[in-house]
Amino acid sequence: MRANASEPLWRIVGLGLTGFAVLVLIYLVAPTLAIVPLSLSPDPFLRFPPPGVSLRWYEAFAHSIDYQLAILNSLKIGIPAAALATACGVMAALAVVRGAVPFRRTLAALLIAPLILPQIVLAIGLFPLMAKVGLVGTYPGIVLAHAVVTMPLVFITVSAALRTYTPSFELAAMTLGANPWRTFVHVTFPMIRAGIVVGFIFALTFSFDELILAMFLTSPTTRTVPRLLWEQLNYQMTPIIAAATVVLLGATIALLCLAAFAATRSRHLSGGAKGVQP
Amino acid sequence: MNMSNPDFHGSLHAAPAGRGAAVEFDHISKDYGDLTVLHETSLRIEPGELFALIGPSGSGKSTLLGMLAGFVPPSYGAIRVDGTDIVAVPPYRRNIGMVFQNYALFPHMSVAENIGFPLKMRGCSRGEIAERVKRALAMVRLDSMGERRPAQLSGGQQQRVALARAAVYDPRLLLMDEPLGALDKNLREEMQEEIKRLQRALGATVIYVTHDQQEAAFLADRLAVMRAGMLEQIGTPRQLYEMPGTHFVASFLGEASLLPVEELLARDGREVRVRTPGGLVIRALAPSRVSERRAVCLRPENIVLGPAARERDNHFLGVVEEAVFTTGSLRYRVRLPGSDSVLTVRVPSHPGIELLAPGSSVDVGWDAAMAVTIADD
Repeated sequence: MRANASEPLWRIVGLGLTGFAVLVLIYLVAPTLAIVPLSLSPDPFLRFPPPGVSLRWYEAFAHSIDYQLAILNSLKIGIPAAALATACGVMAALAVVRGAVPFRRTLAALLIAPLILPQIVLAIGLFPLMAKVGLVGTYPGIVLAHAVVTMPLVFITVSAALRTYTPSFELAAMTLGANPWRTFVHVTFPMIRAGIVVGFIFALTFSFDELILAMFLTSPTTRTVPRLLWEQLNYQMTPIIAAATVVLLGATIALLCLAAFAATRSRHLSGGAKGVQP
Repeated sequence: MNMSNPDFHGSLHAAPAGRGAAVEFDHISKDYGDLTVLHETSLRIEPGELFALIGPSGSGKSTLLGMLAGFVPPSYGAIRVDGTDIVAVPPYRRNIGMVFQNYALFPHMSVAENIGFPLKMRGCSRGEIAERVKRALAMVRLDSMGERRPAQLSGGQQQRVALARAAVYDPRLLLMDEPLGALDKNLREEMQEEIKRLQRALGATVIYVTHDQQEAAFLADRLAVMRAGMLEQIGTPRQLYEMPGTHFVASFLGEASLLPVEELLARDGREVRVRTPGGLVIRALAPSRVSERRAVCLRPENIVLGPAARERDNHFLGVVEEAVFTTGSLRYRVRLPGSDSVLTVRVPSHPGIELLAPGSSVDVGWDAAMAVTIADD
């Protein structure tokens, strides 16, 4: 394409492509961003376009006990769920990528399944089981459920990190006298740290935004921010929902930026350090 | 070879010669289901020996090394180091040093931390680690590089760090898996010197895997040629080069011309007279070890061209098919009369010698002691 860029026809095609890409981007992002002007509305109802500009709903959001509780719940659920998912995901990735396990392709597919299967299926399956053991509406119940759906995210990022270098680093550590645990602590962990951090952030973000499992498995005392938003949408259509959504969106974007930063930083640190040639 | 690095700073400790370990593979084999990667093999390596395993990829040499390091459990047999079977010992308790082809230096640690790693794993004190790392760095002439990251070093320097790391805890057995494979030719020759010196200073037994026959011949006290999961031949580099047992060994180590043998005419001690399918009668050596002799093997530098050839045990009038100058020698392809056997001949080159023209006739000759009968496979 580049070599022909001087030809008028190709130039027109190139401009057309760029224009199309911009339109796609707008199409993807605009509906999400439409929430921002909505949240700035002075009106007591959600309607577009908003008649003016005001921060009253942000103020209402900041003073809402319901939202404060929901944010606290989201953190109380998201952090332990992401931690649990990270612990399990790292071990699963180590076993599948480095271990001598049979059927590793099938195993990898099964491990990713919770992410691909509709969450409603998992929710419907989990609900009677959790009800039986009395976990519905409790923190452990939703933490376990979120750990299950977010574990594949950690599994994927850590598997990718493990595949960037040959196992000879671990073999070398062992010949040098490090038992499997110390090999993990001193060699494997530092080399996959970025993958673990990114996986944890993805898991946390996912739990923070997850609605379906939260609807089935939380109670009014353990409800998360997405569930609260959903309930408010059903009963009162005030722009406080829009304000809360914008805050949630901001938090999610901040976490994803953090993940991107962690990934870039690790690539910079170990750049060219894969140990082959000068 | 390059002898320009005489400033070797001595060993880590006063390492007496003969502190290397004896290694014995006892009827060892490895298979993955129906696939046998190593057929039943027995091999003994003497204490302090530099033993090279050579062969094409997939010949089983890395499997043998992996078994010794503890990465590959053998399917059958025992591996003894100084008489003790180590098959059930995990790699981290074998106290064997290993140098990997890609060096496997930990990228997140400095050079000094890399070298200190095995000492840290052994619970040495900080002071002792610092002291021994310093000596190891001096040994590989990287005194000022301790604080650098491996990625900041050249390939040759990384290789030296890998050597220092594998040797710093004084293992009695060092394994090297194609350690110079990633380096360019000049650096490789320099590092060969370094490895040889290091091995002498440490007194350790070294098992060295390579597919470079020149490297193996230069470094090794003895070497084993492997092929398709079997040991083809074991001996000193000179024995294998001059008395190859098989076609494979003959052509894997250096250049060789092979003349097929149709009939054994006479045997007189170690010397035989054989006839080729083209009717040539050739006198050659026949080492008694292998029973089936199917070809005569000739090295290109042992064949004489010109009038001097008439005084040799074997003498024929050949035709030059190809003549080229290569650095240091003239290289000919000479067809023997009445056959399609073509010999490769290498004659030292100097300004007073004419390059023979293709198509011209030439006297070709060699003594019986310079030709060896081998098993043709």
